[in-house]
Amino acid sequence: MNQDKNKLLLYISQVSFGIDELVLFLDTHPCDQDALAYYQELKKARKEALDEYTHKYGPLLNDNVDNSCYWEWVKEPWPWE
Amino acid sequence: MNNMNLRRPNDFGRKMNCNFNQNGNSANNSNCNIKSAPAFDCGFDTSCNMECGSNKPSCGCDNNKPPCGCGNDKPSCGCGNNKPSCGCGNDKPPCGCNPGCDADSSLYNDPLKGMALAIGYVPWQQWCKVYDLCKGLQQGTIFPPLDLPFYGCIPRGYCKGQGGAQ
Repeated sequence: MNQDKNKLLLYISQVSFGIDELVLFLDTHPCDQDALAYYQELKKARKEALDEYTHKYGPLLNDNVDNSCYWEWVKEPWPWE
Repeated sequence: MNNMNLRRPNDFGRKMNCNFNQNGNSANNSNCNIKSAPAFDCGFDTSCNMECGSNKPSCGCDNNKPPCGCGNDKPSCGCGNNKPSCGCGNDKPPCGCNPGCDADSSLYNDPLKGMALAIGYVPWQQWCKVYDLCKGLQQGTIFPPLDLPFYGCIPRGYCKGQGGAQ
């Protein structure tokens, strides 16, 4: 796995974890405007990162598979590979 | 959240609206007001009419009432004076009166047994500047106030000398 791919994957993990944390906070603070704004920011950042990853390296999640005549999901290594 | 234990379950969670003040109380829900909140009925008879310490076998024997107020050293706890086993119904295992059966009771295995009783509380979390994403994943939380050293130990347990509670 090349350096850029690793970096992008790490960033996706970081931003996804940040969203998980925010979701927990928002569950008990549904009116917190700062948290809501940060959630939107991270959601956008995560989508952009996933789109970039999908474009460069293929789908990371099975709902990232682009509209294609081929099921791109199977081109990526399986977890045990 | 600091008053959460006073809120009825169906008043909490996803049904929360945006009328909360900083105390976490709904402005239009009087049930969240501590002073006016009705007494919460947990299904137990909170009064104790038992005459513990007397020779009457009535303490805790009514199936509708949880045993309470009886010391283990009192033979009348839930038992007739002429019955050696403790426990009101035939379907209940002996407990409390016979030291030999304590080893199987959950109370005996409670790791917190013997510790002082207290009121648990969770302060209401306030939004504050969060960690950057890299540090958040490293630390396991994006919230600095929740980034605490872990001294988790079993009480009177195995981390003595390592900063853990005993």
